[in-house]
Amino acid sequence: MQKNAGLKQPGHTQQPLRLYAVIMILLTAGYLVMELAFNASLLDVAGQGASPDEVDHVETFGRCISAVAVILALFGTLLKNWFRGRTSTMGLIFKTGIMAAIVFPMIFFGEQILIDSLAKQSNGVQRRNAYWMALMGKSLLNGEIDLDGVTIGTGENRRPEGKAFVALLPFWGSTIKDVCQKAGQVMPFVAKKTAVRAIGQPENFYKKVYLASLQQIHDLYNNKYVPGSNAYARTVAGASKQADRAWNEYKEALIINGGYTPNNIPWLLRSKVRRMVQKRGVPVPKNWHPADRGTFRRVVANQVKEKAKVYFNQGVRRALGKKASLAPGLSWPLFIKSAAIRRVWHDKTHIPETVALADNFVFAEFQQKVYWPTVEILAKQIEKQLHDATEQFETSGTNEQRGKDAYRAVIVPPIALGFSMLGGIVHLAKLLNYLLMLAIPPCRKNMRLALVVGTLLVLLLAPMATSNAITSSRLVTNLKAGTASPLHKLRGTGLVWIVKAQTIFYPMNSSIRDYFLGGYDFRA
Amino acid sequence: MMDTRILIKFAPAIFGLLLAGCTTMQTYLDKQDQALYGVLPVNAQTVQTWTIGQADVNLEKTYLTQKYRITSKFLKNPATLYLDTIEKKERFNLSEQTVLVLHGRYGAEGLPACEVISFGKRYMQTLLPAQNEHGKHLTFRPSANGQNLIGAFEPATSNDSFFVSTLYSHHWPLKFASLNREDRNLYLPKPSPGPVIDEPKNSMPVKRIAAQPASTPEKTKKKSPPAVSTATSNIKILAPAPKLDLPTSATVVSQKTGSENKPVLRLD
Repeated sequence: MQKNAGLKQPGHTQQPLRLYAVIMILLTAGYLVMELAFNASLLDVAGQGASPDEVDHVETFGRCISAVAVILALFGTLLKNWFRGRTSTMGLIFKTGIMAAIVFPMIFFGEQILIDSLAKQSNGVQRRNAYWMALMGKSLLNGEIDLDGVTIGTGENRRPEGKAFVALLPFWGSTIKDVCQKAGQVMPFVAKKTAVRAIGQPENFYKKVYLASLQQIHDLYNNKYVPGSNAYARTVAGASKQADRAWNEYKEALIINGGYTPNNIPWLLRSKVRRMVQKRGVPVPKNWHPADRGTFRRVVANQVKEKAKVYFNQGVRRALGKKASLAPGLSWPLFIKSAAIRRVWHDKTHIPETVALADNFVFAEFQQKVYWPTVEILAKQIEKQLHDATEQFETSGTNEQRGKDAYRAVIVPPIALGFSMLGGIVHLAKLLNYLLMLAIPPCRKNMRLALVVGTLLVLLLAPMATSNAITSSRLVTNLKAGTASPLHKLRGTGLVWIVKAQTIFYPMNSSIRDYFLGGYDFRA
Repeated sequence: MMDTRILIKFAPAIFGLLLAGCTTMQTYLDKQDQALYGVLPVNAQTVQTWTIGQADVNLEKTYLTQKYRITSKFLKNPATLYLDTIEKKERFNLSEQTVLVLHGRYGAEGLPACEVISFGKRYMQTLLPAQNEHGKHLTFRPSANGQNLIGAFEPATSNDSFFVSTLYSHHWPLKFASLNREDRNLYLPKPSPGPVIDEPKNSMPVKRIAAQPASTPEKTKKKSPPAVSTATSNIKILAPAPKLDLPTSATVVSQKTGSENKPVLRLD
């Protein structure tokens, strides 16, 4: 309170403002290190063929950093008020807590909501184009196809503008009106490559899918089926003995209950005896004669066999699924060829049922008979999905979710990169502002603001004055020229700006990441 | 008095009606019998009589009912063949020229079976070598028409003896018939030589197991199927499958994609 009381004195206003500036410089610089390093990692991830999951994971960091950026901006105002004595210390802590509790989820989920709502509002054409371009972009990133009219480099050696362009190309390409026709020629090739990526390379697929699944089925046979089948066989084989035992017990029961034998039961007692037998769990027919050993034994034996069969079938269903059915006593060759096992095997491996599986494929044979036929079938499926009508990508269409996912995947990189770069530039300007607060007296506030705004404009506009191999390429030039509406022109300009700005910022961001964060790539 | 007179007056008519009814019933039963069990592919003249105990019995029309009773009116010595209980054993003597045929119906529930035990202990090992002292279960096989079941024992000596101890069937009655050795070829497929059994120490002649129909060779391998239905009892005890041994090292076989050069995507 003593300190705050002093701050309110006019003669002491310069000192607290300097302190405020120093605190904000430190906070903003800390934030900038994170933001710029993240920006470099985001470009690496989006521009070097990372999976959608990796992009999504890195983007989660991005949304946290964006939320921190907004919290930091608002905290500056609260801190300034505290230095000016307008807020108590408890008030500052309370307000900061409330503000952070509101702002963080708002920004963190806001970006996600923005992306989801854009995906939801997209139409069938956009989703279908996005699906096409997502596959094209993946093949392009993996160097499986070349892009006419521009050289983007390959892999790790790709330059920043190349990375930015590759990250943005799926979105940019999806805005081209007849992209499906233009990409139609390379689509079969891309579909096949996509299928290969989906199931993995042949050797990997052979070892990790085919051999692993075969081993699982082999274990299933030895550990579950064989014991189950043998238990069943022994029970069935012993059915005759059980029937004899039951008959003997029946005879003993007759002797105990009146000294009868099956052949001397009085006519009047026969139905009573029959009921007694039925109550003892032997469902003999209504016309059964108490001396009819054959029927008695048959009923008992059938009962034993049926129970054994039920237990066996229950075991089969537990191991293979509710609808599975398998005969007992199958040798390994018959077991592996049975319909139920084939179904399970195909389900495990995701190999189409039209591709025949066997337990003796060596690698070369496996490739010829299983791997490449599977790739062909998957590629045809992908091609079919790609050539599905636009209506199928609309809401309630068969490809709705696939289209939405593709659209989300193509808009995430430009949005994430755009927000990250804007956040970085704005906070660079803020950092300049705080630095100028130390250098320029408060009475020259307008001059400080003019310098900050000027710097901000320079940072925003300077990239547009530059040129690089990507932005001056025939493809980018034609793409820009091909957009007619102002909105499309603005979008094109924004994408070009990101590509140009990354040429300038990426080296700096990458250095900051390496120097301050030890090369942390935000993927962990 | 009046009633008695009327009764006497109409007695021949009543007797005639009863006789006609019985004849019709007998004809009907015979037809039913034929429908149930088929007609033996040998005629009555080839069926030989054979001795059971002290009496000659023509077994052509001998039936076993569900109660294990022989009820045929043609049975001359029911006391000998009376199978009152399944435990009671009766002796059948077969001559060298005859075979014993049990004639039953093949049912979905399973096959009838007949437990036949050689009469004298010294024959037991030679006649039924694979079995223990208590004999052997024999499963009868479908006949050529697919409806009947037949099984046969082929005695090798003139004084071979058997007795039937237990009969199982899901369809009764069963029919016994003794056939001439030559004529049984009409009934049974030509016999194949049975397994030769080591001659016993008392140097009795070597016996052969009865010839089995060639049409069901897989059944001949089973020496002692259980009396109860064998439909599911032939499930083997399985051994674990041998360890998988597929080589994992390999050369990748590339598949031509139709284009050796990278395809080029044109977007402008």
